[in-house]
Amino acid sequence: MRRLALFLLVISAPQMALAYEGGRTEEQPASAPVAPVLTKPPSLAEFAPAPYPAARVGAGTVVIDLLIFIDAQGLVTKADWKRVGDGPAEHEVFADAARAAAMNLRFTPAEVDNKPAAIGLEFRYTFVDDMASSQPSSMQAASMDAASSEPASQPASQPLGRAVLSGDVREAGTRLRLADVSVHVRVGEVEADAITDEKGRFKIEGLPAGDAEISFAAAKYVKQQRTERVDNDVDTAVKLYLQRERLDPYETIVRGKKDTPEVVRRVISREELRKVPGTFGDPLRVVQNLPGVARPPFFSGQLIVRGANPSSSAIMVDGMEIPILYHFGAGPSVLPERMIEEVAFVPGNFSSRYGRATSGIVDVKTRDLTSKTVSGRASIDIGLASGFIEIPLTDNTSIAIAGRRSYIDLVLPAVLPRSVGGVSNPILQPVFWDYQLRFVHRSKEVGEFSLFWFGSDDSLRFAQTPTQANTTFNPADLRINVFFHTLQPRWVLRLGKNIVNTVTLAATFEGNAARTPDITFGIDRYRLNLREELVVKLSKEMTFTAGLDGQLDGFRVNAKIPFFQRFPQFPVPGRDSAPLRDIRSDGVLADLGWYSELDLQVGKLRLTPGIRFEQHTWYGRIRQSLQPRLMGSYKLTDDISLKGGVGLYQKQPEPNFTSADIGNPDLELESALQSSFGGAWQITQAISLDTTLFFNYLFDEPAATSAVKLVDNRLVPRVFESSQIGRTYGFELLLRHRPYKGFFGWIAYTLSRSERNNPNEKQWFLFAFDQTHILTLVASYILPFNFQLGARFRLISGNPATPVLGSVYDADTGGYQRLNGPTRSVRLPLYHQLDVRIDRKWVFDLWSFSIYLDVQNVYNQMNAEFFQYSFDFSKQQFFTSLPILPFLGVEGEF
Amino acid sequence: MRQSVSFIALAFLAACGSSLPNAWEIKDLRVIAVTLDKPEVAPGETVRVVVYTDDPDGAGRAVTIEYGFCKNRDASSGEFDCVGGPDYVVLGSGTSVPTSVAEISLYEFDYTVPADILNGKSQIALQYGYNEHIVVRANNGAGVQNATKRVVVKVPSASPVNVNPAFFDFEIVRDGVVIDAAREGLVRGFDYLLRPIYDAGSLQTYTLKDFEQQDVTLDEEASFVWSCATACALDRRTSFGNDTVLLGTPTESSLRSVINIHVVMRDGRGGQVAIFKRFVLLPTVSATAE
Repeated sequence: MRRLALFLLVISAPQMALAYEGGRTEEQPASAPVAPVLTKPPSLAEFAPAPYPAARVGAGTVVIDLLIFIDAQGLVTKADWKRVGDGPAEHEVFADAARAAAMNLRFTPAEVDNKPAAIGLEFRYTFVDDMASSQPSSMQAASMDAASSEPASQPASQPLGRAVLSGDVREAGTRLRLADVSVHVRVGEVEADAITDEKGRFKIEGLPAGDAEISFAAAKYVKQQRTERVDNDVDTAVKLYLQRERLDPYETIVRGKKDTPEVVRRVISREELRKVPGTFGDPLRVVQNLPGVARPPFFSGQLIVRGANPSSSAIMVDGMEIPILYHFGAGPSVLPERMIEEVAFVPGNFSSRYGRATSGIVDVKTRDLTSKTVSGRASIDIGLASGFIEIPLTDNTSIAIAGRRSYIDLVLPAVLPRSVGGVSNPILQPVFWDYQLRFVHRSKEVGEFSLFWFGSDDSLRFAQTPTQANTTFNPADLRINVFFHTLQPRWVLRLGKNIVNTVTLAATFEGNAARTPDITFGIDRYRLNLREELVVKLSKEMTFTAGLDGQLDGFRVNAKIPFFQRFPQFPVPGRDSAPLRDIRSDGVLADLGWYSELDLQVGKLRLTPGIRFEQHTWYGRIRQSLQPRLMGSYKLTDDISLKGGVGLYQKQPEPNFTSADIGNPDLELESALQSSFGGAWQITQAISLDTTLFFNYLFDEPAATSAVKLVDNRLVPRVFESSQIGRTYGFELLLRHRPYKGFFGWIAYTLSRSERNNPNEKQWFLFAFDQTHILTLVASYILPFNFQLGARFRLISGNPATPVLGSVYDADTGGYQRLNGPTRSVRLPLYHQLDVRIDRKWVFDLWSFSIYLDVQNVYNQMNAEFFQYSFDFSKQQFFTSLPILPFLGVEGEF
Repeated sequence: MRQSVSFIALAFLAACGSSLPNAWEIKDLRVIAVTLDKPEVAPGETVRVVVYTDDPDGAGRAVTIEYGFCKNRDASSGEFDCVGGPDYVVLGSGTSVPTSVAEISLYEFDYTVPADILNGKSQIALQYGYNEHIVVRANNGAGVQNATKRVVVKVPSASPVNVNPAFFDFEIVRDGVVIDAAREGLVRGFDYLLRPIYDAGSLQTYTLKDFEQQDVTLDEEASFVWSCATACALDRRTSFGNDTVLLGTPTESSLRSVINIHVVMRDGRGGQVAIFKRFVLLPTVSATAE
């Protein structure tokens, strides 16, 4: 007697209860309920049959519905019987058998927001006494035969022939294997059904010979039909690519609990990163559209968070600082969007695990590499060629490679004039390239091991046509080269049920070089970063985190540069250039940090105290700091919570400030005392609102000084002193619709003020990028016929500027010196701009093709970026931002 | 892809010029140069100061010159905000006199550096010297131009004595040939190369002590600030050494029949000499016929 236990897997996302692993992040404020998206449902990888209870033989077919919970590895952690009402008592023995068997099931991990995640789901065991006369239904036919792991199917009627029809069903464009596709076959009067397995395969045996009319149907896919000839004793194989009804990557929302202690942590998914208009598809520029971030100056990629200097924020890749963010400082970011899974932005009061920043943190998470098929993308245009490919090597191992190379250097000489007015025109020839390689191996034994190898190279030179060499300076002699190469291995190991250890290493070689025939500047840096972090879940309510975060930065400077500060009386009247100075130095800057944090949940209150100890060493100076931080939240209701944080944040001044050659190594650590308080409301599953008040006090910022000090009877210029203080305060609001049902967007508003005070000014003055009002509206919607339309509108206060009262002709230099009014006491006009983007995608069986039009500054607003003055400052005009600019692009994906 | 496209667009747009006037074209009253007979003095010494102005639209009207200095200055680098402020001390005024070049006038005065100028100054000033700022204000009734010139005050004075460079003239080159523009004139709408003629041997070698108390030997360097009036074009405002400057003469649309060219040579240590020349403009047609 053979007894079967069949299953029915039910995934109904909105009803799911999710439990996240530590470290999984969400876009919402820490204490708010969040709405993650189920991006990949789990599928059964290994079936565990439940034996028909011997004591109940003859009881016929019994259905037991279970609610089971699987962890992020796909293992079952709990199985409960979903008893309907009291349930038949005699079924308890079946339930026990089902629960016991279910604990041995294995699934492919579910993914929430494209990350493996724990999940709950319904699972049905059907106990069939095969002595009974009933036949399997079509649903039963969809079951997996545990012994063979082969997809099984059965004609609805008795076998009439020996023909076999098998197939492979995939998604058009992506070639992803589609499970649970309903396959209906009709050969003459005989009909049969099957459902594809997790590999997208189906097989129907016992068909009579003849023309088989096959129809394929699956939710959210266009139904397809085709006819194939099937013959006896022949296995006819078909391959089908189903088209999606709508190319909507934002289909499902799954609610889960929050898991991040930070007051505000905003996460932007890859799909959002790609589609925000006006950001040039640049993932990091999207962050500039969030609350708390000021609009950077003309085309710059600088990140100005809560009125702090751009250098006060840190941008990291998987927790490690990235050496260079943008090609040429303001060009495309060195990481293409394809290599990024998501970008998390914390504008302040971040966790103790982060250091070397006194303002905000951007943490870029590299791509997870979970694709089951080889996929890739290639694009080419008049300035840049790029390629990306992801290859799953095994079920647990994947690799992705990407690269880009510009050829603007070939385009510009072809379109720009070689001479103007008989004088040769030096044409800029920028060249950049970057590469990325990511390798991921996941297994139960070794955890997750990944390797990220990436780098970038920028070269800049001028082409000079030899029409008339009438100067001693030839632009063609100028060479600039900036590059870095980083190797970043990472190992995440679960040491027990409640202990996770993560170690990340980053080795970077970075070079900057510029030279003219007279002046050279070169600095090579060899940097080693290490982060070792242990997360221990002490109980359901308490998690302890401790880690080491260190950086050794070896540098070698070889320069011959003008150096005015060498002589106290410089500039000598009328001297056009400072004497050149040879600088040859090397050294090691060390920065070691130890941190610990306790995440404590007491009822509705969550408190996360943390402490970070840092020791910085530069030029023989040692600076130590102890940085206490506290974050907390209180849940008023399931959907509304309050949050707050306070903490001390310190960082080493930038190397140019502390350099023994050109700066002042006696500077103190730059410091910020941060505080923020706010609330979050999860209005619906997709819509949330969060507001934050913040106040930051900045101190020990470097300020230029003409002061000197007496050292060993020598006058030494101080150049900089840690004498500047600052205060920034404001209010942030984010009303956000997460990607759901084809739409995403947000309204971001910031009201803020940022001021500084130093001994030079002796009074409070505005920060250079202080912007009182920053309003950003972003929306993107997927239209029928594979169109997607997006828009971004920005309304922002103008930057402050210092008025000019007049000028003086400086007979020693031949130039004019401006006479300033009160520092930054006027403002540029209001900035407003609308950007629109429309995409259209064509999906073929094996690949897809996209074309898009991104129009910047749709109504051609001439926004003022800064004042431009005549030579004698008697006349002024605005230097305006870019006019209306349409960008057309194409790309192919497979 | 859009990234690179935008980058190109930026490169294009960055090359676009503005509508602001160019420094090398003189249209209104301008202080062209303030020269000293000796650029470096000791406390109590007197220097002869000459102020040159060009007033293209002045039609020979008088230019009033007021001069003074900035008190309470203790920085060795320039500070200019004293002009018109409480630290500005007026020493005298007068009317400039015409030069041999029409529209250009000069005004001369003597300035005696106070003997106690270094009293109360910082340790840096006492050890390295002090730059006294002479301030000049030129007024033609339609506008005021401010200018400043630094006098290097040192104890002891430099050895050898810091002197002005020897600047003689500039030559005009057309199609590789030096022309006698003073006699022939310049053709409207044509390009000419201007090359300064100076005595490179007059540029001095001098020694400074740096903050490390090390003696550093430096050479004076020749630079030239060019300007012209009016409706003309220069490809650069400043040239160095023997570099040439490209001059574009006014076209037929200009109502003026002459062009003034000014060049001020500086030696990089306070010394400077100014030269001004006027040329007759010839019709483009006659030049083409030749």
